[in-house]
Amino acid sequence: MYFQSLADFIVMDGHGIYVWTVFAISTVFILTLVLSPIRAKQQFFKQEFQRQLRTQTATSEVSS
Amino acid sequence: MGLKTFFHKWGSPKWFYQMANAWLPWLGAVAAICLLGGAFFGLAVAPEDFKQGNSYRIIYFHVPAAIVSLAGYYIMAIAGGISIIWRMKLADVVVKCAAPIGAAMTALALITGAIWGKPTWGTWWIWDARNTSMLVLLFLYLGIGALYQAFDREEQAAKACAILALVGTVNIPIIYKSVDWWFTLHQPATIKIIGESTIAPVMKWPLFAMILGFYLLFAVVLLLRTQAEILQRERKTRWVNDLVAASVGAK
Repeated sequence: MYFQSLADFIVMDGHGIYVWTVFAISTVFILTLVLSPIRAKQQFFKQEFQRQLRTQTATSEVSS
Repeated sequence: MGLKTFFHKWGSPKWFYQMANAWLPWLGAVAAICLLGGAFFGLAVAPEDFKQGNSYRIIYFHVPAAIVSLAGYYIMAIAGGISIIWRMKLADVVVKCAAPIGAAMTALALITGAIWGKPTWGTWWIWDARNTSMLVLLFLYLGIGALYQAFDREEQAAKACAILALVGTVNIPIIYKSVDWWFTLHQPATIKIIGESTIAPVMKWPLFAMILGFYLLFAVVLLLRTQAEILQRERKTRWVNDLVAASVGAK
């Protein structure tokens, strides 16, 4: 570890505010990039499954 | 694998989807290790820069984002070229899916650069060659995203975007060389593939880890987005319907 204490690590001689802002923004960017397509895929499977169910019930009603 | 089978396989959305599923856990795991390790060593272990103090730690996010924003443009432009020459549908999908990731990376590079600029240059922004050409890159990415929405027919949109992506490639060497060609506040590159890097190893290795992590992150997000787009486009096919049925059965 380069820093003497946790307080030093957070403050970083006054540059902490800049460094930690960058860290926070980067984390938000990375998580959003990864999670949004994962959510889109889940959404797709959910919606399409519901559609499959609807068409199945529709066809079974017609045949009965 | 012969060239013909290569194109045949890569042109198959089903094959691409399955290949992406096989690769994603590995790519994701290595990306996470690189990013977490690189961030920890870069922020906590590496010593401070004797000129810039601790603000230099911002490079561990700024430099990888900037590098990948350029590399992403190449990938998008190459996919655009393939789409025009061989009319491969999958290449269209890649162009469409790469543009928002590239835009995010460019925006991140610009934002982190501005936050680094404040304590180091004394200003958030300056209209110099590097900053301006990066801003042009952001607009290119956003423009390609907007252009896709502007067409009703998918093929026309794909063609227009591919052409814009190829034309925009002119900007890439300008960005690379901007710090050498023009007088600017932006410092020249300190890490070099050929020749001696002007950066200490303790500072260098976390940076390499972060760069690799960002490359892998780009790959992971591109594969995920491409998968999501493939599902939408192939929703009427048998294999996607089977996947849908299986996805709920697995829960």
